[in-house]
Amino acid sequence: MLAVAVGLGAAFGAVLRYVLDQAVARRRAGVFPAGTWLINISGSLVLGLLAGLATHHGLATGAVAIVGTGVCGGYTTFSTFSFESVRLMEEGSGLVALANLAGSVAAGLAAAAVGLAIGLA
Amino acid sequence: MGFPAEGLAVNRRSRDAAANGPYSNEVMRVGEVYPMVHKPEHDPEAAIDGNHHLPIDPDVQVESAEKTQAHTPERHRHERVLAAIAIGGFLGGVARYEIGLAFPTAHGTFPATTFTVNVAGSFILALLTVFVLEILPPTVYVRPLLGVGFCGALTTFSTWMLDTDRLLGAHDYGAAAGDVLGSLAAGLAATSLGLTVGRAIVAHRERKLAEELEGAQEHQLVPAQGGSR
Repeated sequence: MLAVAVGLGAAFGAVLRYVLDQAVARRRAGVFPAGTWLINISGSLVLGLLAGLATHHGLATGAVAIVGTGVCGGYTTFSTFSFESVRLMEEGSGLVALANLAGSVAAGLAAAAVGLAIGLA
Repeated sequence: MGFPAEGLAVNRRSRDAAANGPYSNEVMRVGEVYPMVHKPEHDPEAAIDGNHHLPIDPDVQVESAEKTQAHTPERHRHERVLAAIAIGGFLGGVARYEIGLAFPTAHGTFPATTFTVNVAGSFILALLTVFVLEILPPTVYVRPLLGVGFCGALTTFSTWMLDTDRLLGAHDYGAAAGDVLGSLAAGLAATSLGLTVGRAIVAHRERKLAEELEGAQEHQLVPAQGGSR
């Protein structure tokens, strides 16, 4: 049953990802995949926060699974991040691809760390 | 891609690629079976290399497909796309969760399970995107279901980041660097491989279609193309 709840969380995360990505794409010109970037960074922040709260304040493991593994895992995406980076390189935007790779990792690590710190506080 | 542009029956996607540019999405004409007899007016390379119209963002697709799905009211289609994403997301999330239970990462060890699902999901997404754009019959729902939904939920960026932060916090800098660089390298390679394999399959199919069309022309079953060799 928990698996079903995790799945529902992931479903919600996936739909939210799509809606946000579309909204960002409508508003932005340029090739940098800002939608995916924002989604991955915000999801990393939330997951870090969740992990910090779980460690320091205690959260039900089920809740952590649903919100963390489910929602955050479904919301963020590695496959789209990788796809967009490769396509940018193929289309001659290698520098943008590099910025995407480095920027996503740097901001993602920072966001997760900040979330973790807040959760542990 | 290796096969000649001239004389080749140009399929609908190649023609649309020429018309709509590299960032357009699949604009497929429902009901067409045989390749188009009209060659593209511009960009002959579009006839060779289907990836000219592969999008950069694999999630963006619905808007252009709506022109060819005129039989479905737009708002219903949007809801169904969201439903497809939700279903795919459910499946991807459950898969990642169950795989994580089956292959748990012990505290402080390299997060191989997350690494594996991320790399596998990257391959699948790339292969699927090429298939949907080039091979599968026109549909608005396959990419949301399998791409945005399943692959998007199967893979995870946040867990990867948290795992790495934990390794850094435990001063396991080697493992942290390995996780970041290894996931990047393997993920990008998996995506590239998926694109390559998908395109090779597409090229093979288009050669077959061209051969069949030539055979049909020789037997006067299909009128010869204008402008072909």
